[in-house]
Amino acid sequence: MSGIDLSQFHEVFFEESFEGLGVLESGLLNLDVSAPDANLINNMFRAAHSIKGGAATFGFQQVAEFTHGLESLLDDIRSHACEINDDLVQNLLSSVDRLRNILSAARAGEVLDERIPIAVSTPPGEQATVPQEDASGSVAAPSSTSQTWNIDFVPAAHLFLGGHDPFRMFRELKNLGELVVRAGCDKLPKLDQFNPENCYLMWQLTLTTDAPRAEIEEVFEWIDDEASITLTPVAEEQDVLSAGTEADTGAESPASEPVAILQETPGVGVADTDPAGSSVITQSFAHAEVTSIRVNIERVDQLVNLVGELVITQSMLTRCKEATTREEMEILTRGIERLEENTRELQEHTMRIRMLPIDTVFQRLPRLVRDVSRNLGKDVELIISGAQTEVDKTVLERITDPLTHLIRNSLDHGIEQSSVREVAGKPSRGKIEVKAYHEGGSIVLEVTDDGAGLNKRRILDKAIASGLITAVEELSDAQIHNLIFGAGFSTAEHLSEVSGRGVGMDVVKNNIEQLGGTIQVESEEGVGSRFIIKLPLTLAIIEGQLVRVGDDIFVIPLLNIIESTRVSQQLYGNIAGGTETYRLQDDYIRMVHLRDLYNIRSDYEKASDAIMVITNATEVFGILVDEVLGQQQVVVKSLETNFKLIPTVSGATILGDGTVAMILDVVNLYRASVEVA
Amino acid sequence: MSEIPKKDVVLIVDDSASMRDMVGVTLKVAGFDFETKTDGSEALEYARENQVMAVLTDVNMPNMDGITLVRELRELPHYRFTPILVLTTESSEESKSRGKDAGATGWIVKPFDPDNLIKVIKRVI
Repeated sequence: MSGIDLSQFHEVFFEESFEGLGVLESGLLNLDVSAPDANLINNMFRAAHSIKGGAATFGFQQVAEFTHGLESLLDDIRSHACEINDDLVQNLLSSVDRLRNILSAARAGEVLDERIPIAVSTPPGEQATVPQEDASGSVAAPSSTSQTWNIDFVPAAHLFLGGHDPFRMFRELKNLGELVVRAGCDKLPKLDQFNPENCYLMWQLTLTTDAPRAEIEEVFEWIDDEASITLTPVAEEQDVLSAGTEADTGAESPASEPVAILQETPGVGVADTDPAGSSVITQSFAHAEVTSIRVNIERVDQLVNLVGELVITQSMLTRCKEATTREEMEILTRGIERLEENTRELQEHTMRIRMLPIDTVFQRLPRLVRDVSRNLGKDVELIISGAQTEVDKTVLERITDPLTHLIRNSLDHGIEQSSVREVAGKPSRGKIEVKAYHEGGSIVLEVTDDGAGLNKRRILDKAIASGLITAVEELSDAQIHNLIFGAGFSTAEHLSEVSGRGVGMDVVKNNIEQLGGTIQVESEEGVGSRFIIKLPLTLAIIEGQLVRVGDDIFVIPLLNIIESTRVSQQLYGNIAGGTETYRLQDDYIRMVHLRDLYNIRSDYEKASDAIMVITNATEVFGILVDEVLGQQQVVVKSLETNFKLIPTVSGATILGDGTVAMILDVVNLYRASVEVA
Repeated sequence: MSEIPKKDVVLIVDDSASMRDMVGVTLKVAGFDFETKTDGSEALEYARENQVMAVLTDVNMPNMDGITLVRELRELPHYRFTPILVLTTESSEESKSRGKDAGATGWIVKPFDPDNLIKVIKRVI
């Protein structure tokens, strides 16, 4: 042996391989069985070939063997030794899924169960049997007997209805091994809003057990419609609990993180070939974590250039350290200007390193739409645009699930069956359009379908039934549409395998709000619906509007702002109950005084002297301030790590003069103001 | 609402006597009391007057099948939160989701062994 440590190349190999899988998958999806494109087949063959070659080189035997079968079959297809048909494509797709599992396991330093037959090595034409998935879970590391799992258990509000009891489930889990239960009370409302029939808690469980994944999942099998359950294996070194146990994961590749097992399992955004899609749910809300990032060499070069310029500027400034003459002063001023420019560019370019095209998420959609619409017996065309739109890696990772959910939802509840569409005079083939584009400092994602649209009557009935509203409330169309995002707005009475999987629109909305984004829906009955998600481009820096109340400066994310206006006496109204409202076009919106909320002094005495910043979070509402200052990019610092968590504040930033300004969490600010009132 | 007595029993609904016995004995050994009914309508009649800890029902039964029973039980205010398990012979997703759609808490696939029955029962009571 040459003494070179091959493990340093593993991560790149895995990334290449997963890209190759993407090529295989999209190739299969685009393949026209009646007239196969030789080029396309060639590309697929090459992808398989590279994976096999790499795997053999780096010692991932199982990957190499499995891919060898796939490669030979593609070779046969390429040389027309074997005829391609729909069944074969389906089997090949399943094989791609399986290969993805094997790769994920290998990346985590594990070997999938030996019993798994090599799917594609069966002679072409015969039904290649793909084994029932246990979704990469029972990846028993050879030298390991016990594994620690993190289980995120987020039940829907209606969990208790129908007789479910989480504590009994915990008891059952406890029988499997060592269990630590932590409850999350974030969603717990105030006592007067507390509905004893609802479940407001969520749990984080840590289970150390030698039981296979399937056995853990089984405990939750009855409630996969009523909860989001995420199972994540924990790496040994992160596992504080197993300190006393003999946990020893066969650390074949030290660079890899077992968390990544979930990353490429077929369930992540992709319906499985299992007709019931039973393995979809446990993974669909898992975050796809990527441990490294590939950056275009050009971008790195730009950075190097910029650093070069910075060095020049710095030496220029050093020379004028003790500037006395007018000439030197001028150089100093110019130097500072350059520094400013360098800093800005450096910031921009550094941020761009984290930016990836949203394509990585969009790539999965054709498969999703194909599988789900097949499952539902619907004919649906998917149109994607803006795949090259770039977005921060973290945002990208966390948008996958909400987006997938929206599309499932459109496929299931939006698009009608062809026969129904024809009667309604629509083209028999349904259409889903997914679009991404930049708008200001944010990225906008739109999911549009030409389906049935939201049924207002049914939404109202459900909302009344689940206690979200009372029967007497008069609501505008937009308000009715927004009810679908309400917590506890349950589709339970109309479960379906595709979208009725417990994770409601409220979860989608929550996920998006956690990223500092917003979601809106536009819909017309009989014509279709459009969901519009707006997200900040990055989480590290936001575009902020500085506002002042008394001596304090706050930052409101620009993404949330609609407009700023001077409060006009005529439009100002105090309604019964003491809530101050303001007439904005046809609506009355709530007014929130920061000074009252934070108990600080303000310059204005009555509301009509104040400036109002109209924002949109859960609802449109106005924030009253003394003065609207400039807009600027602010670097978000976590309050939780540096100070403590404040519910209405999402973070803090340090302004140019060194003072600290709080960044307002508009969504929670609104909630807090409602609670106070 | 009139006071409906709550009994510490598991209601077993099955038209097959051998199944009723097997399930009943299994429960007894695990320390649970039980009541048996032979079809959905009989069970429903009993349920109107009594609250139980949990219901275990077969699917295919004369007069009223198990799925209808589940649906009817869920209509009763005192059965909204009661665990109801469906005993089904098919492990297909279709039959499971039929039970769930009707409002069942969960399902047990036949044939099952006593240990497994107790294990899943303890998931709800």
